[in-house]
Order: sequence, then C-alpha cells, then structure tokens
Amino acid sequence: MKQAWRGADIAAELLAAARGWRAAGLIDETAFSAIAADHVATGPRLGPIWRVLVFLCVVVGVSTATTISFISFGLREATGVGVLMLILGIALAAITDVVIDRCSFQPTGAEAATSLLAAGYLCAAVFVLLDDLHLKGHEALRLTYPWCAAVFALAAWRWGFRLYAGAAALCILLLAAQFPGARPIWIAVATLIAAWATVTCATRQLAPSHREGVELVRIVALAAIYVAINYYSVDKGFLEELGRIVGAPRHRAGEASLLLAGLGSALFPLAILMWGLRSRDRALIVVGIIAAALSLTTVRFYFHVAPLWVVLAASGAALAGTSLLLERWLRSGEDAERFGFTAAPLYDEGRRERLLPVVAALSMAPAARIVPEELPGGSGKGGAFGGGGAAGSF
Amino acid sequence: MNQSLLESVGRLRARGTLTDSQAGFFGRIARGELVSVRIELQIALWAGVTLVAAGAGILVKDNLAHLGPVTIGAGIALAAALCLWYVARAAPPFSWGPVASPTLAFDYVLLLGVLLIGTDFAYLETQYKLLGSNWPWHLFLLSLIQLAFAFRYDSRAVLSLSLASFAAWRGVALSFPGGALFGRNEAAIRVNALVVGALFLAVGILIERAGRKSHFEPAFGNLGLLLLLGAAVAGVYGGYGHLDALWFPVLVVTAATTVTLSYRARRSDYFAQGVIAAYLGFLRLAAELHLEVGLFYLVSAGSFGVLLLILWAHRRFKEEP
Repeated sequence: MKQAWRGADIAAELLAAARGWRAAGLIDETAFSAIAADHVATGPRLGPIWRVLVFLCVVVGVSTATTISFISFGLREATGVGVLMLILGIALAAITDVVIDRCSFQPTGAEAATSLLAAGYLCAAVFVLLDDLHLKGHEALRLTYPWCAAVFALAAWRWGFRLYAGAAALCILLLAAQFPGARPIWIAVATLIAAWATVTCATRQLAPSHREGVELVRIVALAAIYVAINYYSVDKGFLEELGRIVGAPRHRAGEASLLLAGLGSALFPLAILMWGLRSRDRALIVVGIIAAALSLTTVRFYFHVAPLWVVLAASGAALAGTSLLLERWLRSGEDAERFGFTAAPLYDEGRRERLLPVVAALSMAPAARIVPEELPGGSGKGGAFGGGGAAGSF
Repeated sequence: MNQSLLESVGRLRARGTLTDSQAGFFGRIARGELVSVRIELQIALWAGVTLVAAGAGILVKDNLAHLGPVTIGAGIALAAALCLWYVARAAPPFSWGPVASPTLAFDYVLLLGVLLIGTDFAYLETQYKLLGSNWPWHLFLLSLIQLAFAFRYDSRAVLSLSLASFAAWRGVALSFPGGALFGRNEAAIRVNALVVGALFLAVGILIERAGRKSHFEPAFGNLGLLLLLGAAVAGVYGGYGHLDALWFPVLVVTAATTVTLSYRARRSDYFAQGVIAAYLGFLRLAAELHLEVGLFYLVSAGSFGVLLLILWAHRRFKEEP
C-alpha cells in the first residue's frame, strides 16, 4: 500500500469515527466540521448506493468486454484463454491502482470491481492453464490454492480490501485439506494463522484496512478450528471429504476422535468467549457466541432434549431475556459501563440500529396469499402462519 | 488497540478541536478500554424474538390435537397481550414527529407482540374459517392493526411489517416476489404489485406533505418503488422467451419517471432503483435483438454508458465529507 493511500485510509477511518461520534451525540456539528475540514484531501464520499451501482456497471461492462476480446482474438485453446486472462488480470490490477490513485472520490466502487475481476482472472487463468497441462484433482488443487492465496494476499496488502485477506486465509486452509491427515494439518495451520494474526495486530502498527484484514484472517482461522473440532464435523468427516480422492473409502472417525470432538465442541466456544471478554474484543465475543450456539445445535441433533417448539421458544426467550438483563446491568453501572463494556452507542450504530428491526420485521413478514387459489366461490385453503415466523401452510 | 485512531485523537486534542474530556473518552475507545455491545445485544434480541415466534408457529402446527384450538388461541393471545402491555407501559406519549424508543427492547417486544397477533389471527381464521372464502381479508385486517401500532408507537419495523401484510393480501410477497416472474397467475400478481406500489408511494407523498409521521416516508417510498419497478421488471423478463410488448413500455415509463423525479428531488436511493430497473430493461432489450457478438458490444457499451450517467448525475446528490 502506497504511503498516500495509507494516509487517506487513516483519514477515512477518523472521519468515519467522527461521523459516528456526531451521530451518537458525543461531539457537536462544529467539532465535526473542524475534523472534516482537516481531511478534505481525502475527497468527497460516494454513498453506498452509488458505489453498488458503479460496482455492478464495471463488473458487467468489463466481463462483457472480456468476452468480446475472446471472440475478437478467436481464442478457443486453453493456453490462449489462460494467457489472455493472465494479461487481463494484470491490466485490471494496474487499472485498480490508477483508480485508487487518481479518482477524486474514494471509494468509488470501481476499484472494488476491477480488483475483484483482476484477482478472479488471475486465479481462473491458473485453473485453465493447469487444465491445459492435464493436471487434475489433487495435483491441480495443490498448485491452484497457493497461487490463489498469494493473489488474494497480495490484493489485500496492496489495496487494503479485507475480504481478500479472509479469502487468502481460506485458500491456505483448503490447501491444508488436500493432504493425508487433513484434520490435524488443518487445525495446526489454522492455529498458526490465528496466532500470527493475533501477534501482528498486537505488535505492529498497521493501516486501518490492513488491521481489519488481519482481524478477519484471525476470525477465519478461529472459525476453521471450530469447524475442525465440532463433533458433527468429526462424525461426518467433512474435512476429510474435502481432500478425498474419488473412489476412496469415506473416513470413519474413531471413538477417541469423537470424545475429543465432544470436549472441543464444549470447551472451544467458552475459551473464545472468555478470551473475547478479557480482551474486550467484540469479534471474538461474537465468534464465541456463534460457536456456542452451533455446539448447542449439535447437542440437539444427537439428543432429543425436548420438542422443537420448546427448544426454539426457550432458547429464544433465554437469548432475548439475557440480552435485556445485560443491557440493564450495563446501563446501571457507573457512567453506564461495567468492566469496559457499555450498551450505549459509541460509533455510528444509528443507521444499523434503525435498519435492524426493519430487516427483522420483513424477514418474518406473512406469506402472500396464493392468487390462483382464490377461485370464485371457493373456500380457499387458509393462510400460512405468516407473521408468526413460521411460513408453513397450516 | 487502534493506534492510528489514538494518534488522530491526540492531534485533534492538540489543535483544540476536541476538549480534554472528549479526547480522553475517545482515547479510551481507541485503546479498546471501552467497547459498545449495543449492536450485539440488538442482534441477540432479534434472534430471540425470531426463535420465540418460530416456536409459537411450530407449537400451533404440531400440537393442535393435544392442546385444542381454544387453549392454543388463548395462549398466543395472552403472550401477545403481555408484550403489548409492556409496550403500552413503557411507551412515550404520541407525537406526529419521530419518537425515540425508551429502551433497547421496546421495538422488539412490540414486534413480537404484533407477530404473535398475526399468528393468532392466521390460526383462528384457519381453524374457524371466520371469513370463509374471503380468508385473505384477515391479512388486510392485520395490516391495518399493524399500521395503527406502527403510528402509535413510531415503529418503522412494524410499519414495514404492515406494508408487507398489505402486499401479501394482494398476493404479493415483499420478501421474495418470484411469483410475479413465473407462475400460473403472474400477470394478476404484477398488476396487483403495480397498484399496491403506487398506493404506497401516494401515501408516502401524502404523509410527507401533511407533516404527519413524515419520517415514515422512506419506508412507504422504498417499498412502493420496489413493488412498482419489480413488477415492471418481472413483466419484461417473464414473457417465456419473448419480450412482452405491454410490460416493456410500462418499465420504460416507470423507470424514466422514477429517475427524473428522484433526480429533481435529490433522492439518491430512489434514483438508484430507477437506474437499476432501466438497466435491467436495457439488458432484456439487448437480449431480444439477437445480435450475437454485437450483443456483447451493446451490453459493454451500455454498462459503461450507465456508469458515465451515474458519475455525471451523482454531483446533484451531495454526499457529506
């Protein structure tokens, strides 16, 4: 990442924080204007809707232009297609650099589109070229995954898109699954990645985008560890399936593995949750909660604890009740905080806060009546239990 | 620790942009000494409400024979009443302007109460066939009740639910309007979607002009446009391989009107919807021309043309720094 981009990245982070502070009522308009005036060099923002539109237009435009180039050059052989994709990928990477460097609006959505297409083309080119060399299956994947990981890691490092960092970590993990003894290797690699990300975040002064990228890498690695130690995953041999050669027998988990998986499913979420609470790391807390929910779901899968409606209603009530009690407990603390946690908005939670209930409501909207069934004089079949969260017909 | 933000806060303090107390407070946030879990608590509340509502739905479905219709109906009604009792107790006085939620849980408890009413309504209607062949009217009735709660307690969530129920009454699903694209009666659904969308837009304009809950206008406007443009796009794409001669002009008119009016009114969200609908219409027209290789040239040129239009038009929609 160029020095100027790093500066713009830091300025954008500060402006985003300032907007959040203003929305939360922590600073007034004068202070916000002063902060914004200090960072005019970062240029005006293009809103999210505009960015999505620009992104779509660039993706469709460039993809069709690529197809035109294939047709125009009369390329039918894999080698030609692969080489052209490599050239186009490099060209798009250069265009991404130019857009980030020269465009007065940051971000525009165009750099996201060109970078995605560049990474996609570069990865696809290797698939095509390996296919041309008659390399298939594990041999091809063992070469493709490290190449893709390198492409995504480079893209994340150069342009600061955090999703590419996560994709790079995922590619490394998928590579680990291609070898015999996939699960222990997967766990070892994921642990190393998580450790590297934790140490890097704690010790190195990173640009905001890079820091977020490394944090995402850590989340991907921790999620990967959980996937590897979850009882259901071990029982069904999910990771072994990733690297299984066609025709080879399916992996059967031994009793010791299942016992360890049971312990891991119970202890890993608690450990992550405790780590998150101690370090006041929201991402770790969320990972811990999701892992705990998945472990409970796994228990429900193997043991019929109670009827489904009881489980859903009880867990829902427990979840809602716990969050209400927590909110009240945090609010009643000195300065509305306890142990460094608060339920008050500190950043721009306002928009999400307004949108979340709307999304929740629309996700539980009633099923539409079926128009063809409304025959004259017919009695109809009754409505679905929409509005209650269950859309099944009664 | 967010080192870059911490340094920025220090600089702002040194320049006098932030006061000592502000800099101290933001410094704590940057160092990770103070963390807000507000969104996480809200997501947990939402998940809790969803699970309880889903549990209630399954209870009704699975235990009808054991518990009997009266027990189930009364049980759900009691649960809904408890939720709404809490809401009525905690609610601030009515106002035609925006009213802040008194607690984090307020919106979700209200939503749960209203959802349980919906479940009870659907259950009673299915069980006792109170409306007979006019059973879809229970959705209309439900949408009116939800609308009343939305206005009284100033809830965008319940308002969205009300609009979705109203659309469902006319056979249109806001969550996944696939029925308007293909199906046995898709033409009727599209016409319904057009009418309902136009109605939502009209109500949105009306409340904004009257200054009565004018902050609800985006909900009416966005959902109205979604239906209006969605129906037109579905009409253009749903011609079973042929471009529908009737729906294409409808799409052109609705998209052009949306783009023009939203450009004048400086509404970027509406403008974007209009551009997307017009773009989809253009892609469908390009496919209809059977240009073979020329199709790719047309689509590519069209995409970059729309890109230029967007970059030209956005100047009118000023974004803050």
